[in-house]
Amino acid sequence: MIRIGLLFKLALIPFRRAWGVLGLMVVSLAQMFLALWFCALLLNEIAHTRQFAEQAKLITVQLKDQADALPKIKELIAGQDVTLEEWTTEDVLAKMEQDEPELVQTVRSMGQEGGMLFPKLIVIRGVIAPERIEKLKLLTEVSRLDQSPVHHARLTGFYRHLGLEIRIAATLLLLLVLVQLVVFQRIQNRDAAEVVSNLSAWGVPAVAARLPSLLSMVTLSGIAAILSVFEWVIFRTFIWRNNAFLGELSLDHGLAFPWTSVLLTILVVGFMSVVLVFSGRAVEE
Amino acid sequence: MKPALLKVENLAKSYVPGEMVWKHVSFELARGDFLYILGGSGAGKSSLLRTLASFENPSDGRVLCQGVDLQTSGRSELERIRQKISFIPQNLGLIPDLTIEDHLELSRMGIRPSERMEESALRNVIALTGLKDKLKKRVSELSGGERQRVAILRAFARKVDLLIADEPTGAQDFEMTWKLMDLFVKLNLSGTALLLATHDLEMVRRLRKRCAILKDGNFKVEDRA
Repeated sequence: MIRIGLLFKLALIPFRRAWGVLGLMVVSLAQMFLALWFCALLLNEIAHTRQFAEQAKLITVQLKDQADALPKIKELIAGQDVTLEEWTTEDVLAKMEQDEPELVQTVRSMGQEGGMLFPKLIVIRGVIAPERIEKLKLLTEVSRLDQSPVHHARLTGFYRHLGLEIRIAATLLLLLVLVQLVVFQRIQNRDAAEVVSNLSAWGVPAVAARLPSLLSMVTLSGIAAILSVFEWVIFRTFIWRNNAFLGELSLDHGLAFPWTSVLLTILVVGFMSVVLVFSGRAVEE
Repeated sequence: MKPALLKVENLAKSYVPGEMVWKHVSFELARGDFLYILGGSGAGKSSLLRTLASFENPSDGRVLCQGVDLQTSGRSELERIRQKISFIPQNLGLIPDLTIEDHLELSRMGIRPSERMEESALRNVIALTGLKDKLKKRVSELSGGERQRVAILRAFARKVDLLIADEPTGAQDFEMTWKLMDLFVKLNLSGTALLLATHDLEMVRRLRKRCAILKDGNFKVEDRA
């Protein structure tokens, strides 16, 4: 078998001979990969937000006689995609102040007794499993529990559309990556033919003779992928800083690196490279 | 009569319809045979050798190497045959970015140790070609004559049944030419069949080997050495 060092020497011949053009090609491929990673990230976020918008509920838990059930409720909703707010009498009054100013003033004038008129409320907003809601109802401290869907119909429609557009963009980006690989194959064609003819002349099997070309392509894509990950780390912070204000509806889940999509891209690029390198038969063979 | 290692039957080549570069090329080469192909510049020696080495297809006729038709054989059979042939093309077929050592390694790739030239013998050939101190140099850093010697060295690095060389000493001085010819003769005496193209009549005359003449598209093997 061919020594790895020698295989790399053969694979790097195109880079040695046309480093300027291939350097630019690496940079442009890296941008395409970066755009693909962001497409994947946005699709993840959209999937999350759509799920949230479709399944989110507003749950109002009315507690018995100022009972302190907060720790138990927190324990029950742990791990669920929800936010929890505790409404004190003062919070309720503050919210009512605009619509019912006279009533609020009357209650306030009653002092501590007025406060007793209002039950203690806990508001839970988000996606919560039905069985957890049932458990919440069964708590002895809970006197009443109301739930209603959070309506985000226009938002879910928008995100469905946005998801489709991002998928189209990702497909076009993959097509551009393919074009880049075809261009690279053209650029390295002469060098590759030289290597293939040389190895074939010594009876090296056709597959082995084309391995250096495949390795050239893998090296090009590999360097571009590494560069794109560096760029990702930098841009990730930037985007996070500027989008965090969107809150629960978007980009609030830490911008995790989309590993599945990256692996999928690597597989697609690898497949494209194999097809490009091994399709057709060189004259020298 | 020795069995034919290479059998060429009524071979013809044409790049432009109706214009034959050479035609009616027929001859046989057995193990240990030596045949010069003599011809002027542009006579078609290189295309004939490339065809015999399976790197070009003939327009007509067939080439049998160890009984295998090179034009109709499958890929794996062709690869097996090529492992038994060393070919030194006129353009030398070297990769400028690789060192001499790399070229030696490439030529010995994928073959059994028994099919490689013994290390001590290879060291002798390296010394004789004057490349001992340049093994780690890239081919692009070598002179034309040195590159030609690298191509010869690479061909010698493995044991083959047939060596085909296209003007292998054209870029050498007188002394080196005879040193290299001495190597070729020794290789031939060890049983390797040699097919050498040249336009150097003096060399043919001195070595007194069988020769074939390619002239005006006609090929004729001289019976006398």
